[in-house]
Amino acid sequence: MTVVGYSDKLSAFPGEKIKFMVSCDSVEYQADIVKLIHGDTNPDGPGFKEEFVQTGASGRYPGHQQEIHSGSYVVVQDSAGFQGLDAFALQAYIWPTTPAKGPQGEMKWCSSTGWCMSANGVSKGAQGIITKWNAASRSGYALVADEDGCVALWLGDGNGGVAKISSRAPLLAKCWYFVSTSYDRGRVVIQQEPIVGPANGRFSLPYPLDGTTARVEQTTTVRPSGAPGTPLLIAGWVELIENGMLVQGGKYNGKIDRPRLTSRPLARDEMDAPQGPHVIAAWDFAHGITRKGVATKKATDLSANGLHGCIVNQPARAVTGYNWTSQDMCFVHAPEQYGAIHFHDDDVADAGWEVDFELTVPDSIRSGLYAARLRAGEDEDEDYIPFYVRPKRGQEAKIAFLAPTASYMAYANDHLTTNAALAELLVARTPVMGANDLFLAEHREYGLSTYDTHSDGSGVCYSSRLRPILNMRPKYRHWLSPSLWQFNADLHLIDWLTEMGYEFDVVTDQDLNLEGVDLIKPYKVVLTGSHPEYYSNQMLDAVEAYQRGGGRFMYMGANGFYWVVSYDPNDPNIIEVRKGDGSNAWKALPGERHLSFNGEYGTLWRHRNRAPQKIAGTGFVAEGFDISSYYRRNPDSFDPRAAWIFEGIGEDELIGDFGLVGGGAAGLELDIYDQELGSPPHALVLASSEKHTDIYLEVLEELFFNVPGMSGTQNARVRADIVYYTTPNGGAVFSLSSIAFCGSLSHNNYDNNCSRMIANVVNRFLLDEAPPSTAEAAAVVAR
Amino acid sequence: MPQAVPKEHEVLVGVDGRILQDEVKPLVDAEIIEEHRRNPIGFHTDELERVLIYLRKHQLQQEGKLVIVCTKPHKEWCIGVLSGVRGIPPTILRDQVFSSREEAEHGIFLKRIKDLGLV
Ligand SMILES: [Fe+2]
Repeated sequence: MTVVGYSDKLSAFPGEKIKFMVSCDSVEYQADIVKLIHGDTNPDGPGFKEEFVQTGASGRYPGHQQEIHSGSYVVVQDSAGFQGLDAFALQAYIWPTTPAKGPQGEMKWCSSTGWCMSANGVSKGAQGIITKWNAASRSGYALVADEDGCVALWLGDGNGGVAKISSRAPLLAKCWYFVSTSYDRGRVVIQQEPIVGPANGRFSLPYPLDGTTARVEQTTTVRPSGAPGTPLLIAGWVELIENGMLVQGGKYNGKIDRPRLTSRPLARDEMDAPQGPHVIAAWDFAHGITRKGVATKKATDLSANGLHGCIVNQPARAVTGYNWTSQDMCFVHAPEQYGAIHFHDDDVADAGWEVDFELTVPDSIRSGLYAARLRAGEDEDEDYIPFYVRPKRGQEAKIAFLAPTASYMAYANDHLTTNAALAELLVARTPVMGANDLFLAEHREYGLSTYDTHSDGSGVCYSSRLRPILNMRPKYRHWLSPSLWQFNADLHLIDWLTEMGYEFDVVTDQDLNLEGVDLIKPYKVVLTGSHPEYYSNQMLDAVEAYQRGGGRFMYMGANGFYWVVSYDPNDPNIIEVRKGDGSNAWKALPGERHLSFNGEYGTLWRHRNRAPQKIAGTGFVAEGFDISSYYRRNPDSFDPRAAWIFEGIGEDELIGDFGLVGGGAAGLELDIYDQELGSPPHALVLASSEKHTDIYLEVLEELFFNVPGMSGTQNARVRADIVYYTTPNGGAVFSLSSIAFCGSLSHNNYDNNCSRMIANVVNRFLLDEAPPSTAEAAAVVAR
Repeated sequence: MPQAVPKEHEVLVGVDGRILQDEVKPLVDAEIIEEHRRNPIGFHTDELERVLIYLRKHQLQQEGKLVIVCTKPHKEWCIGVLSGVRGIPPTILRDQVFSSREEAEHGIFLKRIKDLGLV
């Protein structure tokens, strides 16, 4: 990749400014703004389509390389209190996940990703826990887990004198320890003590931990410098400071609870609420937890000195602490048991690049999906930075495409081809990697998706869009699909709306989350993307309010309205999800299923009694990613209240036995009509798919026991249902229940039964007159 | 650098080896190889699908697992070998170049059964 970039905003109104951040290996690059129409480069389809847009942003710009520094930590600005200490102690509770050369070895099992090695496959090296340490000048003092996985105190006088005193007892991964290091006029004491509770760690009996208890006493002639100007870090140290930018070294993996800096060591029973003049700083990561969660980026110091820190790169919050008992499963009910932060060496919240150019969105351009197209180098290597232009308020079209941008973010830069042992089994094909995937495989610092695990095996629960997202690009082909997936797959729908001559706006999840139903209220028809999987409370409320208010809702995909997410209330660029009890790439640890951003229960919406069937009439039932199939009409499709949907389609015609996504309209992920989960009894089930391969299995959350006969050729529940029903005030819902569907719309130059059916529905939904009511069907069921 | 292999994985590899000998090896013959060549992705006979599922598992290890690398969009595909190490991209085997994804899929199938001594 010669050139890559990202933007500060995802969507903007005409007249607003968007900033673009670019890294480029060549001396210069050409930037232009284009409107994206069709992103599928498959020669069997209509081909790639973009339109140049005249803007002030077009031009050649000088290239310069920008790097991403992943890794989360807490930074506390230097203070007089950190200087000139004749005696001090650094203490904390820690739950290290990758102590190097620990007895558990380097490889670890992650249920979905299989065997994998720690970051970089080599010894993790020393990791900072609480450090006032400048690696460039080797000065300061630091509590670390050293390269042998032992607790150590490092002292450096800044003139070449360095002492490193180790506990000489390797820590066990995923067990809590009380760790204490102190210095008093040349005398050093190192202590590490396992804290074994019934539920707080990997073991509940102390036998594997006995050998990891240690107390070492030693003297040293090295007098530690206060490393003036160097900030104090928790979960790392200062590698260097470059143009005022701090670069973190010694990136720690694992949890830290109750870090303390004092002028004399605290006894264990003083750790919780230390008081007195000897307390220099006592950080409380549970501070700020309220009924509404903990979204603050401030690490509060409880001491009188107010040495508060700033939490960088979004480590995992709302995680269980050293004293968690399992009696409370939610952090808002027992904040004192959630005093830990889980840090990772591969967390990224903001790449923090310099701005390269700006665009003022022209006043005259229509709402739609646009991109900054960057071209550089001899091979005309390119990148597209997508953004959405919103309609001016009061000038909305009648149709809106609601781009599922929360779901695009959930998949951002996923690494499943290289990391997930189950990936190939899931798709029953060998995953295909392209240029962007090879780049990401090498540049892990570009961050992870919510499908990945961190380098320590824990699940990734946050995703930020403030970094180049290389799988959210036109032309991109995704390993999970036989062709396209998510962002680029949704261009199939944008292309169809464009080619059919509809005037439409494009709005995003991010806007829906912030503005609620007001965003979509102006529209007669709202169409979803092919896979609107990740939904926040606000987004779900907005869609239901739209349906209640007479809106006409077209669900153009499957496995929608599935995971509970929350946007960071202070930063719309970050989402959070806690996985478990679903079809999941990872499972949140016990006690960690609530979202830190708002305190709500995470996992699937169906576990909060808001199953997708209530929103769309159908919900997730099966998935398989090898090939797609077709639908066959059901008797309901001949009902006079629905016959208009099939105008121009023969009685026995198979619907969508063609297409650019797996060769059919019914495929990848499938949804089913289910009254028990809230599908409206008065809905008509118009058509159902059939003939799916045995790769299509009923999903985990539908199962009670794992029994044979759950796959495509043996299971009549493995199918997609096309459903139509009416809602109050002249509203209606039409659901396709298959992710592959939109890839069939362009077949035969847009003249095919999928295209016809969708056009029939859109045209009818655009009329002022209410669509034919299906309410009478409810009466039939009631009898 | 040699990796310490956890006990669970040692046990898994032992049982997996017997699955290979007793359940998978007897299914591999010219017929399923030809079936795979004709239709590498989609509906398969139970015999072929069982062999494929074994191969796709790769003992749940990422190191040495094969992937397809598309070297020229819609034109050229190669086999890649995963490193199993984060930050080290797959090694691309340039000795074989395929002109369709399906051909590459079949190329990987042949390489896997050969590497396992099944043919
Ligand atoms: Fe998904």
